[in-house]
Amino acid sequence: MLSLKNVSAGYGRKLVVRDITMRVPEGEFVGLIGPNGSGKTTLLRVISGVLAPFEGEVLLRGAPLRTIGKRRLAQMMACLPQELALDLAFTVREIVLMGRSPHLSRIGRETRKDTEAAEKAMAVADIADIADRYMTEISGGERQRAFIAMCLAQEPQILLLDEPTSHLDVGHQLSLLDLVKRLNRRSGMTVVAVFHDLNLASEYCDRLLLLHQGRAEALGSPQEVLTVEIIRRVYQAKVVTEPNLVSGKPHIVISAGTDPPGE
Amino acid sequence: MNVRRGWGIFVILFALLLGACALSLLAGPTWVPLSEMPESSIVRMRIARILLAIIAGAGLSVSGVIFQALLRNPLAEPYVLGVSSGAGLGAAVAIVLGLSSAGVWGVPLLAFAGALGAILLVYTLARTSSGAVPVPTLLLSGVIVGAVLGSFLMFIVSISESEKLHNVMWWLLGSLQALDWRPLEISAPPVAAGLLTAILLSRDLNLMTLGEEPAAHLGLNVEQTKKLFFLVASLMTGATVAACGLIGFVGLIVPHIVRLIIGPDHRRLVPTSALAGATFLVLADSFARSVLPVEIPIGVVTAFLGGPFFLFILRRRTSPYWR
Amino acid sequence: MNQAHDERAKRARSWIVAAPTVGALVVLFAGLCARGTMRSFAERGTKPAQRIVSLAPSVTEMLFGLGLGDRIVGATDHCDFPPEAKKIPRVGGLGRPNVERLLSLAPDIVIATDLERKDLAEALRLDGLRVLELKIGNFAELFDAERKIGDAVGEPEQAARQVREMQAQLDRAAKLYAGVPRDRLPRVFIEVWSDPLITAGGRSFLDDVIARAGGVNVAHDLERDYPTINPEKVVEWNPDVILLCYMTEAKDAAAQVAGRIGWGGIKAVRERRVIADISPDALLRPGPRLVAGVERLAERLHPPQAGEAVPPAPGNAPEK
Repeated sequence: MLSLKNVSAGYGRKLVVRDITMRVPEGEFVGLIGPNGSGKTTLLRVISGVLAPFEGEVLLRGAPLRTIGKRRLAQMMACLPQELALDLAFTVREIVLMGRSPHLSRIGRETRKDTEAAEKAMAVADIADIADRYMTEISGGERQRAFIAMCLAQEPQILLLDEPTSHLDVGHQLSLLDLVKRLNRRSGMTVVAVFHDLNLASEYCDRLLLLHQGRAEALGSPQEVLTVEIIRRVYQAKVVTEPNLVSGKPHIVISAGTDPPGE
Repeated sequence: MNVRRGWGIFVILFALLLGACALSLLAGPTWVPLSEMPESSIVRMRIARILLAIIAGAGLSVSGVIFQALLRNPLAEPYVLGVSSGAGLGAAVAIVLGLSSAGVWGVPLLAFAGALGAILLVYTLARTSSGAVPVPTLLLSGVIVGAVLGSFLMFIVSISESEKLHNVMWWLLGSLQALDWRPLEISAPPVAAGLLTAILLSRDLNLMTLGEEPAAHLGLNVEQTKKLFFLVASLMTGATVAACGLIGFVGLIVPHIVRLIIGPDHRRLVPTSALAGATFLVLADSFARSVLPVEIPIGVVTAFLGGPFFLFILRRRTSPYWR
Repeated sequence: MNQAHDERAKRARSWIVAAPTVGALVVLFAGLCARGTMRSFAERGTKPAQRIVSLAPSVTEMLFGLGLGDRIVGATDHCDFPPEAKKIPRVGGLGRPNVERLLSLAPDIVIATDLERKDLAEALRLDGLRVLELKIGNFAELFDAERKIGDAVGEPEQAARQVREMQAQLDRAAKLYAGVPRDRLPRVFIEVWSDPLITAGGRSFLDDVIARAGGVNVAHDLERDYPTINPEKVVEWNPDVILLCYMTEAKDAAAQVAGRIGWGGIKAVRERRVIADISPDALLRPGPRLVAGVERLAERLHPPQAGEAVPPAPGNAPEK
């Protein structure tokens, strides 16, 4: 589905990610993790097509990203940004309908097909009951689900998420990620998500790419990537890992340290 | 009646516009009895003025809507952003170079170029490296560019022997006086073209309000769209300034009030703002030329209303329609 | 006994304070009066001025008219009549002289009208210059200005003769409409500028010009000099004649005026009495050529009826 070959990218003269190569098969749920400034968001922006890499290329279904027209790309790939500060009082339904834009001609109006797709997306995202409320009136979690619905209305084959839960409380975090996981499992939608929280990443992702100072430090299953050693090397934090009590996936256990760092 | 949907609001606004025009036909230093109206040449003069007010009002309002969508900022409008000053400077340069006598398009063309140059300057100055355009920076940038361009304008006026710039007050305060059809000839086509473009592409404006990246993710060619819309808004502003001088705050007041009533969907916002702007300016002009024995420049009326309104929006952070 | 001593001391102290204060005030007052006296001495002048700086084209023309062109050492950028005036060194624009250049010419007298900065004359006098400030708002003031200039340059008889000639020309013009009753005089709309529409009000010189030419300014009741008006008023006034007085020549101006929206019905437009061909200098420059302009305007306002011979005007100065 998605293939990165020796991608290096950055802003201006500054190189933020270096020489990243990976393949994401269709239907996989991949997590991008790493410390602050390791280039996770930058890499995601390269994948989504808004940032052109300095070197290397990104292939979507075998075609280089830059050769795919913007509208066509939006029909295949949807991206949920980190936090969308929306100042305008659109209703939820109006926002979700905007997700149909890639399927509409430049000056065309929405048809029944589009309104149905929007309804379906809202149902999946479980926000059908607030469809006519204003975006400015609903809670953060509901807003995030509205934007997910907007992405779903695009009917994408691959969904990109940039720290989708960093400002949500635990209930909303889980409900959002469960939704994404369901879509991933049931409709085979490929997901690439940037995670801040390692445990969430471990729970939900099939594979993880750990970035450290712009380079691919580790790529593999959560068991392979989330080892004590690697975490200590990359995050400079001393932790303990053990299987999650419920799912068996690696779980990072933290404890307050009294030793100064470096020991 | 749900104002956010349906055609009701258009009907109402249209009726309001017609009412304003009727009122305007009666406004002026000379009283024309109803029976004489059909043949009266004074009424014909007022009709020309009303038409100019409609065009200018629509053009300035829709420019405001466009700038507010592109810059994601409710305080953006051609005057505040210094775009009007750029247009004024372009027009002044054209006049000094003698282009005003060489065909009817010399002045508006340079006014348009000035408007475009100004907005590019403001945008470039205010933009951060991540592409965002924060409110304080944008306003500051607009004020500075407006002031600098305004001072160039003053400089040209002061060294110019051209009597056409003799009365600079006209430029700075705006005038809807239409002695002949020329102001209408130069402003109607650009405003009409701009209005049509904005209406057809209003969904793109909706997408732009989400932010440049989200809009790109939804399939919009952001750079191309931005360029097109900056061009369109500058064209409309340039045409209006070339025809009527600097009239400020119309693009600020009208879209804001209209948005409060019918919401932020540009597919409705653009045409209603055009209608509302036209009505507003027709009424303001009627007021300007009939309330005192001396004609008040139209820019004074709009600034009088717009200045306090600007402060009001600035302070009002709890508006549900735009934070 | 001590009390008396204190009393005397107090009184003495108060005198010690009061006397110098009063003395200083007296000296100050005397000085101011003296300066005033000295100034008027300066203005009255002991010798006729030999080096003259003119700060207005009208003044330049008057000086040349008195035969004193060679005494002018500085003139404004606009001083272009007679042609010899163009050779005089420039000191700046109308009402905006470059003070340094002015001073460097070391004039005996500076003659000005309409200075932009009102305190400029005062400032020049403090520099020791003799400044003659003239106000020329109508013909009476024009003649007065001519006389004052004559006094200042030591040619009072010449000046008086000029005034008599100008008056004679005005009288000649008046003859053209001598028999016309006041309510039959042509009503004239003066257009000083078109964008915005500016006319000459009752206090302007143009108003006097129209009156002397046998016309009635439709805007006479507007008290200001050059008010901006709504074009509707012109339609309402329905003047018999429209006079275009732009500061620069404007081609096609008459046609443009006739083509204005709603103006087609105005009497002046219908009867094609839009006058655009009198040179602006002849009507706008408040100087000696103005009387010729008046005469020319009077001829246009009161054209001789068919069959009447036009009496030749004696010694008519060639008009520009």
